[in-house]
Amino acid sequence: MTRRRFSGARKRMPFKPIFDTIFEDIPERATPGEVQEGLRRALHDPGLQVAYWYDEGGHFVDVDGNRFDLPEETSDRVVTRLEYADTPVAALVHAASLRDEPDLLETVAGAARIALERDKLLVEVRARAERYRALLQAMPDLMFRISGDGRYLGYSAPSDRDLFVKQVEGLTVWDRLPVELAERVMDAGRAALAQRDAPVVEYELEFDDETRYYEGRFAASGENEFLMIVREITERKRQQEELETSRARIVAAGDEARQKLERNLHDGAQQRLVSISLSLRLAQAQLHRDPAAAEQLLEASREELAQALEELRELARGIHPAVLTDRGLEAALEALAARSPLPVEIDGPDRDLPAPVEAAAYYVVSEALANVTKYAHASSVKVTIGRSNGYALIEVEDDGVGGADPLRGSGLRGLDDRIASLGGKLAVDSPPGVGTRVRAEIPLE
Amino acid sequence: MGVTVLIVDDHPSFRASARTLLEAEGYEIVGEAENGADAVQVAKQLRPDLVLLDIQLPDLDGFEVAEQLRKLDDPPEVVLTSSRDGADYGRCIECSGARGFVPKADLSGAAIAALLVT
Repeated sequence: MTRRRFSGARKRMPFKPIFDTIFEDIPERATPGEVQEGLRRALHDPGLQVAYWYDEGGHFVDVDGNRFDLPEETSDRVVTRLEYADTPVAALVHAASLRDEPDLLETVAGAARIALERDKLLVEVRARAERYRALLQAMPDLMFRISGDGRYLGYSAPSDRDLFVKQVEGLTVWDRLPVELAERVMDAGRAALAQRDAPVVEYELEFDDETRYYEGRFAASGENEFLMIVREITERKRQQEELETSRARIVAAGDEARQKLERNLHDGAQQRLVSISLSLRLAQAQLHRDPAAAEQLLEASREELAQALEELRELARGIHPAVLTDRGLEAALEALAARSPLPVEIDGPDRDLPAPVEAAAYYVVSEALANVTKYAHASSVKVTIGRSNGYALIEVEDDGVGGADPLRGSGLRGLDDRIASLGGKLAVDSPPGVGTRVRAEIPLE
Repeated sequence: MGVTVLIVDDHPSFRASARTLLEAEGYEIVGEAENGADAVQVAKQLRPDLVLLDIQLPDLDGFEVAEQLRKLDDPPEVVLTSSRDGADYGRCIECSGARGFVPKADLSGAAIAALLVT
């Protein structure tokens, strides 16, 4: 490859005829394509190509502004880079034979300098426009150019799915949008035009089949026009709503659990203790008058006390299983299995899991076993705890009657929320007559 | 003839203990009821001097039952009771028109008598 540097002053042209030819061939207001044609004619090389250096892109572009990678030199075709005042401007891909006439090439290139420098600017603008167009097309957003008085000047839409009214150009915002929304759009657009902070406008539109949510942002794009950039946020809204509902359910489940706990304490251990207190008072009163009756009362109190203790233990276990914290999931599952009236086979866990995952696994198994006992009419249960592809898998499978409704109790819904809060999923598969399988997948990362 | 009493509580074990305890101190237990609606019915029929009324009942709560009892002709005295602490109910006990409150664990004829005197 040859580099040609040209000083700021134009060189004296030794070949007058050629100099003339160039100016004949390259009219003063030539387009970049015409400059290329002119050079082809002047240098008698019909295959000559002009490439312009595009600073912003760091590469060459052709006369249409498309990226142009300089070819490898061959025995026929070579590349001459043209630099003016040490600034790259263009490159010529031309016949190798022209190298035999360096003066000719230098003169022609020198003569074409103004045209080439001007073309470089033009072609750069084209390249930039190409780039912006590509950028726009790659953007998932709808974009509207709107005049200060509300008329659509242009738009870009990846598809017409989100066009509330398919026709855009020539209409006004009041033609295309519900009036209240049109006003909000114009308020935001005017704010953008006045260089104030334009509000983000959130809105919903009723399409035939569904309600879709959008978010519009505004920016001034000319003296009296602004851009409205619209993104659909239906999915985000849905996720947000789901999150809020799930949070509310978690709070409600907590309240419900506490209420149940208070009720259980009140109806269970507390009543027994009250009754013991009354029996002891009676026994005390009868101790001298009727020692046999007093002894009977004390014996009854002792039994009542044993039951109260058992009820308190059961309640404490329901609040949080101490064995899980102290001895880990395996021991806790064995304890659950031991208390179950059905034979329970446990497979896993082979290794420790993170504490929140272990707790979730414990409650899944505990709830599922309770449901099996209550509803499934099963003869055995299998519990599997494993890992696969970065997920902890918890499965409880019975051979009962199936047909379980996952939403029947608040228990499974609560578990669903607990698992969702860890980024996992809970599935209940319960075909009638085949048994029920509860399966939780929780990511470990 | 002792004071006639209707015991209202949904826990049979409490009703039994309360009966034994109060009878031992000379009260005459004329009836028992296990919910609020029955309590009002039975009180109408038996016209007891006193209703020992648990606050937490399966249907109406004790305050509501006390309100209905107060509207009867020749209404009985009402003593509220609960296994909870009286303070848990704030001013409700004071406002219920009942003679007072006895925690279940402290129930005795003497405790009731003390409320009836004041």
